[in-house]
Amino acid sequence: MSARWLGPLVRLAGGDPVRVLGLARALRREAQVQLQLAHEAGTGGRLGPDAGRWVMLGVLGAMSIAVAAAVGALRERAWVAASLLVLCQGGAVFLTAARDAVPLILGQEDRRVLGWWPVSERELLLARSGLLLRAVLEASAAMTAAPLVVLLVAGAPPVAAGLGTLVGLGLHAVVLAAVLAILVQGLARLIGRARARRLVEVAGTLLIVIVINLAARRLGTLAGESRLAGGWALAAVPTAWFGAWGALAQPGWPEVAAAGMGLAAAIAVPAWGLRALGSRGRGDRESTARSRRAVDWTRPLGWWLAPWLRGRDGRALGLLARAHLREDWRLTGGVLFLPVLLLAYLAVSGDRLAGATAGTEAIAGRLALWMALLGASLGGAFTCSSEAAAAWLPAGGVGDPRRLLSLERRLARALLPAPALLAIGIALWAADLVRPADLPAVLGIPWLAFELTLTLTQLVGPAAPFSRAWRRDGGGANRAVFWLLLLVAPACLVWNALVIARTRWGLALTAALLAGSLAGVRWSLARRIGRHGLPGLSPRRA
Amino acid sequence: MMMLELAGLRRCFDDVVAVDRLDLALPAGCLVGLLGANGAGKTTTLDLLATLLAPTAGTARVAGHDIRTEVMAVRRKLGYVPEHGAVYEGLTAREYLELAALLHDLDPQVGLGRAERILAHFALTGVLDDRLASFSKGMRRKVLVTAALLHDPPVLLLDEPMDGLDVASQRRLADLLVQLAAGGKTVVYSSHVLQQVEEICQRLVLIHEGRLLWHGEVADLRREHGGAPLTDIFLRMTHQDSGSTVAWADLLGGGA
Repeated sequence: MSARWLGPLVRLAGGDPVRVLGLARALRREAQVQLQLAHEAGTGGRLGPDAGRWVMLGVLGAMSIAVAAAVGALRERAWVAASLLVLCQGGAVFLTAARDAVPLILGQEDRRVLGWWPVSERELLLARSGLLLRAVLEASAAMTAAPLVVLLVAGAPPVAAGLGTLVGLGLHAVVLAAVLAILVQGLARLIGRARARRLVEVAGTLLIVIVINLAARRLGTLAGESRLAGGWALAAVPTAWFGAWGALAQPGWPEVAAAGMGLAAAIAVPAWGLRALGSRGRGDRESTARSRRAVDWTRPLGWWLAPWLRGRDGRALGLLARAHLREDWRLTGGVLFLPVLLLAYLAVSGDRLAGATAGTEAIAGRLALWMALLGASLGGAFTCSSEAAAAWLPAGGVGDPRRLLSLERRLARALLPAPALLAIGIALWAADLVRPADLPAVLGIPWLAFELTLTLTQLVGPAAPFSRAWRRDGGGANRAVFWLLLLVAPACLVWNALVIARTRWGLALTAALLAGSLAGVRWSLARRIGRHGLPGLSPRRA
Repeated sequence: MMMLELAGLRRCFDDVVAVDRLDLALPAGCLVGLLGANGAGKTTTLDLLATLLAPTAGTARVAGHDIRTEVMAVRRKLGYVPEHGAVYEGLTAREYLELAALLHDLDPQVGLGRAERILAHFALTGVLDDRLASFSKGMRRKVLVTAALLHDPPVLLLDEPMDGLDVASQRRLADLLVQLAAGGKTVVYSSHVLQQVEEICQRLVLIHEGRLLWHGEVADLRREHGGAPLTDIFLRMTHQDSGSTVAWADLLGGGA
């Protein structure tokens, strides 16, 4: 976007356009080159540095077509169609912003590079928010392109509906990104930058899942209730207001007032927030220097890891993993909270599952999907860690690629499926949801799903050093795997509903399919390692 | 007018006191060596003056501006070369120095012209369009020094500036620092290399465990200690033994 368009926005938020846009250009260039450098270093696997981003946009584009079909079918019920579009676009924007906000807003790199230059917090925040906005607008465009075409052609009135929605969605994306940036920065001001980053890293995954679940469950109901109440509340949401083409052809004064207030708030809140938060706070000037006496809370983990990581290299890897867990709170959060999430899911859905005719099968199928996602996200967590300086490959002294990948899988098993499935198994047994005889099947299927996605992650991005910086997020092949898996998640749900939960042979068939796929992926991985070695470990071939 | 004034400056990291009630005043036109053992608080002191850290107590003024309340004014008045030498590695030297000029409110062309001349002084030419990621440690250090000098600041803080520089560049930088001080700038030069400090600095600030041990002319310090070498004086004042000769086998545990 040109300075002519962004300049007034920057000025409105209290920044000098020349300085802020110049800084934003430099930061963007830095991020791009860092991705490229990581790829050139050979640690990014087979896919290109932008693979994760393109796969994400592809997945959103595919979802966009499905939403477009729904919007077309619902065009007579404008509010419902608009709400659906708002929900989907909001989800895409929120996921993107949540992923990028922490590294962009709370990254320490800027302080080390230009912390003593005359750059105000506000200017830095605005420049970083500009990068966030770019990512968010990309996701928003991919998610809404197809529905907008439908509205331009079939809306009522056609062009006005499409253009109105376009404006509303753009505004929606800007507001969401700005609000998230403000929240993250506000948190940093309250409790300090380092603590804020750790808190968000630990709780971020859980919060995202909770928010999306809540949004999916409640927003549809709220939209319906609001419409019944007169529509004024929904009209206050600018996107819905713009999106509900034709529905406000003859609006009453409450709708007009609500829409006006919503629009004013959408402009005023981000501008005010960025202005207010640009001033100095407690977290603005911090050093990484901490207390010299640190409590090693990972010591008990050493005992748990020992049987999984045998041998000299295994012990070295265990030590590095513990050091890494102390540093990278996102990985710690992933390890701690996803099992908790699974248990929470069982707590919420337990009664329903117990009442089902095929409770065992339903639990196994759903757990399998969760564990598959867990396996894929683990790779991302390993390779996108934040602070640890040591690369585990050379530090572990492991020379054999197969041994290395085997150790990596063992570590992953020890950290995630083993404790998670152990806890879930005990919970299922204690709640009498599953007969003890069925437990191996209920837990075995998820385990196989985890192994499959973990091996798939190794196949596309085999080297997993513990030494990536936040700023390199999004470039890894692991992110591509994660998004691809999100794409097949609905298919998994359908398979679960139609095959696993309804047939006697569903579980056996699923187990056979997973085992067969796992063997195939393992064979492919071994073949690839035999032919090309392991990036980051084996010598590179020209 | 005092260009640097520290008044009861104190900084703690959790339970560690890194800088403990430092009082100091430095006039314009002096080149001061900042000395101390590892962990004495030198870098923390410089980070405080550069507004990278907020003081736990006390304050300091840089060119008359308070580091607590006039952060941007302080930053406009100083050039800083940090020890870690972090840069945006993805940028070329030209892009990085253009950014430095822009953010110091210099016309980019004027800034680049200055940068080219300063880099040429350090014999670094023809690399402006190379990525900083491809630069050696010494080359980066030259770029950092250039960025610190670009806006002609009255106060210059340098933390181990010679680290990574070749001998000729060290000599050129030392000469330049002497010239800057003679021209009225206040230069604080932190280093572990006592010979270099002794060679180019007229004054010394010695800190130990976060506290000011001594401040004054180098000649006065040596006179007080009977003309002893600076290394011996430093070890004596910081209560450090230069270490008796130890057999390597003893360090290995006697088994070698």
